[in-house]
Amino acid sequence: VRIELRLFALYRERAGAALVSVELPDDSTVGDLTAAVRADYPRLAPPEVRIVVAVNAEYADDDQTLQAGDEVCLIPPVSGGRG
Amino acid sequence: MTLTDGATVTDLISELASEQARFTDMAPSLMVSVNQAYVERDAELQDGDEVAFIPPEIIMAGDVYKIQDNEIKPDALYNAVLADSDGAVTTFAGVVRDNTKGRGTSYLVYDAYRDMAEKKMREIGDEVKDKWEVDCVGILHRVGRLKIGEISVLIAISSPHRKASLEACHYAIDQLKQTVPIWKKEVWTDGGEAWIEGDPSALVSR
Repeated sequence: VRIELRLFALYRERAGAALVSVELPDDSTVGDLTAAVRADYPRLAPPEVRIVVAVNAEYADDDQTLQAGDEVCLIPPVSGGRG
Repeated sequence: MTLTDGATVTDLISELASEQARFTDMAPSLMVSVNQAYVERDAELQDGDEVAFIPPEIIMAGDVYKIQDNEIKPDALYNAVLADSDGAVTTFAGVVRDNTKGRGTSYLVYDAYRDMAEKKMREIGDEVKDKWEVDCVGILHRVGRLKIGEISVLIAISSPHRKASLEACHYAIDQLKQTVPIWKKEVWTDGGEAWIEGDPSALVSR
């Protein structure tokens, strides 16, 4: 399944693109996607930082299966601020 | 309306202006949306697109959850949430501070995953209505480049009695900072810049 991945903010700058294409075996999960992204873009996120993924505008768990046509975005850490 | 293939929003505006002289004056201040998403003037139009021109000052009465590029005006949001049965409106404005831990700020840049951010803002509004006796909720967040002192986020909540809107507003901004996909880049006067990161473990996947 070919996933068109939207990148924002920090991730967009590190990858150098707002949209990247990732080819995965059918029935791949969100976890498989982040593993593939880390392999293709090792500087995207430090290994200890979880890459948060949104599928169709909802935060997704690592075990969620991806379908063709899903809108998938990587969510950099949200700017919480100190308050 | 029919345009040549590959026409942009700018072409559409020219076409409308040639038919209605008043439109020429109004056009620069209007927000444009295509199929319910804000677009730039150079966006290309496709067959069947739904195009809307939205005046920036107008916010319809009731709940509103919007990411916008233009300046946030508190009066408009205040008036949108206020109804006769309300005894209080609590407003929170997040503004651009001139420094971060003593390091001088030149300007900020905000980026957002627009569709999801508005959806998450609406979820916060629904949650707040569930927890407190409030009337209307309005949340606006701006994206793009912001100067010192400009409003980045505005929350206005109305309620019959003051305690509810005060507490709800506090909760809403804290929740927004945790869950809404919006990011801030600080550009400092010393030439450095960085995307400010919150705590990713605070994000709970649903």
